[in-house]
Amino acid sequence: MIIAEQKSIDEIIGSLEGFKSAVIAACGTCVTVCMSGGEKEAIRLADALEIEAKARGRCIKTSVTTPTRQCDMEFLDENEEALDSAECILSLGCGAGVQFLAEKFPDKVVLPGLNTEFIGVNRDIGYWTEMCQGCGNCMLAKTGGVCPVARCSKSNFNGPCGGSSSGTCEIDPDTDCAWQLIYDRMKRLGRLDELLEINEIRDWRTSRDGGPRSVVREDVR
Amino acid sequence: MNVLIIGQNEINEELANYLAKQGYSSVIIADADAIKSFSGEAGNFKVKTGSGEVEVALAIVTEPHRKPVPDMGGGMPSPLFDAAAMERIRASKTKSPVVVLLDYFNESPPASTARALEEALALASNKVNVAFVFRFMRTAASGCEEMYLKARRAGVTFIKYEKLAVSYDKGTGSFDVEISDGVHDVDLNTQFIATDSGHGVPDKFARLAKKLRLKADEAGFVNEDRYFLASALTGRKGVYYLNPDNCESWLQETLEFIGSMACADVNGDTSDKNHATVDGDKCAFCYTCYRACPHGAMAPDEENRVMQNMESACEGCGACAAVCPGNAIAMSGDEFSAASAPGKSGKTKIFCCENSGEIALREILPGLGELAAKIDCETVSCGGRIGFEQMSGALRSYGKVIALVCMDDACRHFTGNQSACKQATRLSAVLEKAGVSNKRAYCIKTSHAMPNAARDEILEVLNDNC
Repeated sequence: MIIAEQKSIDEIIGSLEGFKSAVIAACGTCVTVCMSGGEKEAIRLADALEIEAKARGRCIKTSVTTPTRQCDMEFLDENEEALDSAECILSLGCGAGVQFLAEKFPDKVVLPGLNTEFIGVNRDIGYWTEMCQGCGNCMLAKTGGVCPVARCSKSNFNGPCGGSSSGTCEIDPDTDCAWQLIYDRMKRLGRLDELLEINEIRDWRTSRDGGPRSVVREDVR
Repeated sequence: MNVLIIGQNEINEELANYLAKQGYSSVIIADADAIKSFSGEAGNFKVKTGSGEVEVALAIVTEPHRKPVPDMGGGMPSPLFDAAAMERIRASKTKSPVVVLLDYFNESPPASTARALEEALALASNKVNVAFVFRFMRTAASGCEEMYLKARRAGVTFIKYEKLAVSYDKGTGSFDVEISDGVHDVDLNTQFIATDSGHGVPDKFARLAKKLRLKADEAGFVNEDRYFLASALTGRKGVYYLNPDNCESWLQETLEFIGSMACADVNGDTSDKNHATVDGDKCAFCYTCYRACPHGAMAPDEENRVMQNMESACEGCGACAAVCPGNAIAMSGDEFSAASAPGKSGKTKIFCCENSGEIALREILPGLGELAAKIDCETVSCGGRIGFEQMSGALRSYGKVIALVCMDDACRHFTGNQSACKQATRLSAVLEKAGVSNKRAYCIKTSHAMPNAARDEILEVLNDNC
């Protein structure tokens, strides 16, 4: 799931400078689940914006609408009337949602209300951690199901490095050393010998280094 | 009716025999780890184990929830909750002081505090010299304050410490206890240390509690720190905890209590009770409510891929509605009246929980005189029900808003009171950020037993003209 966090009220209201009305577009999928951009947060943000705007001597009329997913055009079409009912759209979707809304409404300003953080998991209510960077060439089979790209601070392919201490990473004692986790897991699985194999230098073109990516599946088109 | 008994406990057979006499049949699963899943509600639980599925109406957990007492360098202290061990100390007529030790970094749990005070008092009344050694102690639980005074009068020495070192001398069979509060040092030599296992439950118990979806406190206990759960209730209707610490003296009484509660849990009329309703179109099936519900009342509807509320298990606290990120859950019963209406300007809106909040407010209001006219009150099922949007909504027309909720140990829904405080804090932060006075949103924790403290806080809010 995509994990995101709401931007500060300051930044949001700054971006709304000059607008008298805005539709807050929540999104009913990932950002609902990670409690940053669902309908509940949209309603709370509307209240907070009203308080902040009033204090600044401004008046911004807000309304809330919630497409099931901002990353599917059909859901945006279903919400077209509500989305088009104000001067601008403040999207509480991930970066994909903001951009898709901008494509849907080419003549309208679409603003981001969230910072999209990472692909991660839900560990507890209000606690998410990063697990995947979408590098386009998954090597989890070699590392016991623990990703060195996303979870090692250096994305080392052969580790651990010298900064690993008592199972934690040198950047922060609360961050697990991914290579310690990999070692522990491979040991538990009885596959430690596989770690002796050196991982070759990685071709990062499958990741961001190859520029914007797209996936085309002719078999399903 | 089938009753499931879960846990490694010699009391299981006796319990099964008792239940048979009452007309129940028992299913005993001694190994708690054998349970794969536990779903449903009182009267109709489905239990999956490695060997199949069984349906039961009720479940009684007998798995011990206390870690064994720690080894102190070769010597084993006496478990505070072991009546036989305590009797041995009392009978020993030892000349050296007996150390009753409460080694908690935070406030000691009420049950441990009460037990420790009880034992210290019993020993001192037996003319035993007692040193009550503690790092943090809480005496707020019912009866504790009185026992504390009695223990002091009986000659128990209370020693608060910051540093503690215990070593055991095998030759003399005694413990050497070095205590320091940072200023004074005290050394004690003792034959007996009585202590409990410290904060925390055995891993197996924690796994079981999680599988049964029993709300646990930070230490993992499912009913220890909550007096409203008495001695045998858990947060989930139809699931009871037979505390092994109490088995000896309370068994009969506890079983009768479970019997009476079971009738209400299985057959109780729930028709006019507050409960949650999930809007399937909005539900993201994210399981947030499932995790948040303190009563195990949310269940996934796998076929329709939405969460559903089990009405008879639901206690109407609204923790699910408050936390639901999709705004998909509505509560029957609670209606927030946040819309503007004349005559609210300059007044204060108090949302009070129906437990401590309402009871305290009823006590407080008559004594407020003219100031009472400046207050509008609304009772909701629990502090957990009071969201940011309800409080900010109230501020559209009211001057100030207060959430009046239970003290930590008293919230019948475990953390609803804390949730209300977090929402008030969040709203205050928004107000402060906006440069509006942040002194408009408050959360006050109160106890029905001490409404005066809350009255003073409310008066302070009413009289603050910031």
